[in-house]
Amino acid sequence: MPLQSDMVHSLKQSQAESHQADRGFRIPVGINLILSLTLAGSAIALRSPYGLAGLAGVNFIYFFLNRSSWLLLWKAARVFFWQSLVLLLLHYLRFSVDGLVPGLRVSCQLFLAFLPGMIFLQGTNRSQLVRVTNRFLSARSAFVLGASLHFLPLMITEVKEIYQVQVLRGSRIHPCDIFKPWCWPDWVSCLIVPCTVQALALAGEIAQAAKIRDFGLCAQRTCWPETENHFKSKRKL
Amino acid sequence: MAPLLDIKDFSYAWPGETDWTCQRVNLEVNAGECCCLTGSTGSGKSTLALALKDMLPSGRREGKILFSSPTVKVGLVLQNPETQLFATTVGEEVAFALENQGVSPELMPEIVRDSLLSVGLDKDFNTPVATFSMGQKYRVLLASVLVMQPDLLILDEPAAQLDSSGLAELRVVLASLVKQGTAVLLCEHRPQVFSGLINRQWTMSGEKLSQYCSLGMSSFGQVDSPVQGHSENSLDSEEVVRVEGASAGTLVDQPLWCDASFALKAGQRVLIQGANGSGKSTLLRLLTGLIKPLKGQITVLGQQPSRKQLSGHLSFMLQNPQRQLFEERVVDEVSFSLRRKGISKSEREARSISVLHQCGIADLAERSPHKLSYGQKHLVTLASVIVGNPRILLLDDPFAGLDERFRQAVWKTMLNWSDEIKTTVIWTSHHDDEVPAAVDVLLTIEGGKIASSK
Amino acid sequence: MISMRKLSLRDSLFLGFCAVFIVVFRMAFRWHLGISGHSMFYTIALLLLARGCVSSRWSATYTGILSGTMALLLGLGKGGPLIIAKFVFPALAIDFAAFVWPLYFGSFLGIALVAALASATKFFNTVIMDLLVGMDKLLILQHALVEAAGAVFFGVAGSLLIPPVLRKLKSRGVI
Repeated sequence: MPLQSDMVHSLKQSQAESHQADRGFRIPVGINLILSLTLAGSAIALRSPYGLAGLAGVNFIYFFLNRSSWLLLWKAARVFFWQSLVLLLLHYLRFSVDGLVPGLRVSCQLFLAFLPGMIFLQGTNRSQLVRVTNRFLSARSAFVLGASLHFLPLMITEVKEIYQVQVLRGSRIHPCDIFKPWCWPDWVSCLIVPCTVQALALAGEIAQAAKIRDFGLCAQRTCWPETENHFKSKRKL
Repeated sequence: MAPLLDIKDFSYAWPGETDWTCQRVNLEVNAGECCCLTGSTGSGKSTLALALKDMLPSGRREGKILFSSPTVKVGLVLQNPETQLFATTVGEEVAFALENQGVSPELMPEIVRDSLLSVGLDKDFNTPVATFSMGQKYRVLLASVLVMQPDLLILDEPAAQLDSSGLAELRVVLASLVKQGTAVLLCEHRPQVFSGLINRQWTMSGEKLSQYCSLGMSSFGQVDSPVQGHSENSLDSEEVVRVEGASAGTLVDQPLWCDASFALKAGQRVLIQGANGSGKSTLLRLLTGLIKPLKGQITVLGQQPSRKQLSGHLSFMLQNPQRQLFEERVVDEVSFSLRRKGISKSEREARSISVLHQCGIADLAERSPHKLSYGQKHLVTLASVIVGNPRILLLDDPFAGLDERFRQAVWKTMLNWSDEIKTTVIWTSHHDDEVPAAVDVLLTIEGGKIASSK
Repeated sequence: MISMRKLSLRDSLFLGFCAVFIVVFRMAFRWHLGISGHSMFYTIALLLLARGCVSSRWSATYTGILSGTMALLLGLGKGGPLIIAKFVFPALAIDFAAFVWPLYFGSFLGIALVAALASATKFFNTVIMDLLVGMDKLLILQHALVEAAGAVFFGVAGSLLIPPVLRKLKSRGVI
């Protein structure tokens, strides 16, 4: 199922990254975030073509400093293309040909406002991102976030199994049945409701398991030290 | 010396419930003892375990639970390991409780190391938990509870998820813990797998808690009089499943099993046995056409299996089958597949009631399936998948979590369908100590191969 | 610090699952056709489901914050760290509507109206951004309407799933 493999791949990538030693220079996360926000803000403030051209150059340097992949540029170009199409069309309808240059300027500004954020996310180690988010999330919310992502493959398996067995029972929940309104009750009864019940049950089990291991006992949770090399096996049985 | 745990006339009812879940429980557990609590599903074993850990919501309660000292710590491992493993690596997982207790990070590695060694897991802290077998995962769970240094360790249905090798590993660990003075309380349907370890056993049933000194063997597979497998001549010779040189799994170079070849006939009773993770459920899914083999050929009812082709001819029941229940009445749930085939309402109801009779639950027809006991829900789901008289019935671990009464009911239904309707019944199990005489074909998955024996 | 102490851990985890599925569907059903607003179908549906199943004052907002944070961690969508706003604004609208009109979950019309309101927050996101970059005011309005129209259509469509789901969950005693 492409959905699952896509998501799981992304999760595994973040896990693998968090266990890799850093090689070479990396902009510290806090500074990177400030840079990203500054560049985005500059795109909003600058209106002149030369200013925007200079900012685009700075963004390219930022792109290389973060060691981003060319795939990111391709994704960004797609976003820029569709956005520009809509804006140029609107400007043309409003101002005729005279509107095309301002339309292009606005499109570039919007693109340069979003690009630094995309570069920042792609270039930042996931575990560092998690630590940054943990600063503004409570311990419980951080646990909920982590647990939801951690148990996602299990939840997807549950949904898949329920879907498969209901199809075998004759439920009208094939992908083509989405376009048949008389099949919609089956989607609700046979799939969405059982999956929601299962999600509630799973949430209950996870919560119980966490509380059994004293989750919620202390307001300030400590953290398992992550340094890789300290904790190899010292004794053998 | 005072017992570590003394339960006096303890009764509890969940909020909103009028009936007691546990009633007048009296028992004692001493340090360094291994005790076992058995009983039918719904008799209150898990509820008592939660009560000992002080995790029950405020329902009605009577009686007392007394510990020898206020500092006695209780550790609890619940039934489903998958929902209790929160972290990616072994070190993080075992340290979860220490993080919650605010233990300093500098102290954690030593405590985690000791805990892992006490369960016989000498692994690098960065080892991913996902790479472990179910038995190893269970031991990681144990370690993650043992870091809390419990005086009383409670295990809820430990044998439900473990195969024979996992159980053997667990027995060694429990013996060691008991020797060191930890009290162990097992809540278990199948106490015989821990014979030799258990000092005392109680059975919870309704209002009674009875103590036994000896452990009886399950009478699984014996329905009134012993049933044998079909003889070659008694079966229709029609072949319903043929598997030739098949391999299965997610990675081509690392299949779960490979080069499997066997054929099954109409009306046969087929048991697929194998350790956890060996690919039993995968084999069932291949037969439904939901997934394709990596290599080889699978033919079901003369064709390559596909959902369209098998609809109405093949039924599948999941592990934890109550997940698939969704109607408001039992009779509607059972008749759902008939409704989708366009069968008239009167015929649907008649057939559904007949199937419910055969499953022994006709009195539940008008009730909501969501308010039934675990075993009753199991039977309702079974009824809903057999009502269409499928030619092939696939059951993924159909006896998991069931007590003796419901196991016999499910077993009887499976036998009836294979004898009377000539349904080929195929089910899976990870317990290799239970091969009923009525099995016609035993498929054993071991070492990446499937061996077929009759 | 963002904290939801009044929610039980079970409810928080359920909201977490709703949040993660918003993100999963966003990844799985990205239509690279430039059809604006299609993601509102499942975003609004799941936010309404979260609010309907967990009757805490800020359940939808909490779900929105979690899904925005997850989208941030997984590097989804354009907008960088500001992507959180895309999830939080509709969620705030849903929570606000539940505060003012708690019974809207029971009717298709009520839930459709709330979904339209929640989806329409995309209009304001677009207006704010276009104002900042100095677009012509009439064009801002047109651009924002184009962006919001699709969002409202898909958001309302997604919301219509929820009343029957909640009715069945209530009849089973699950919520």
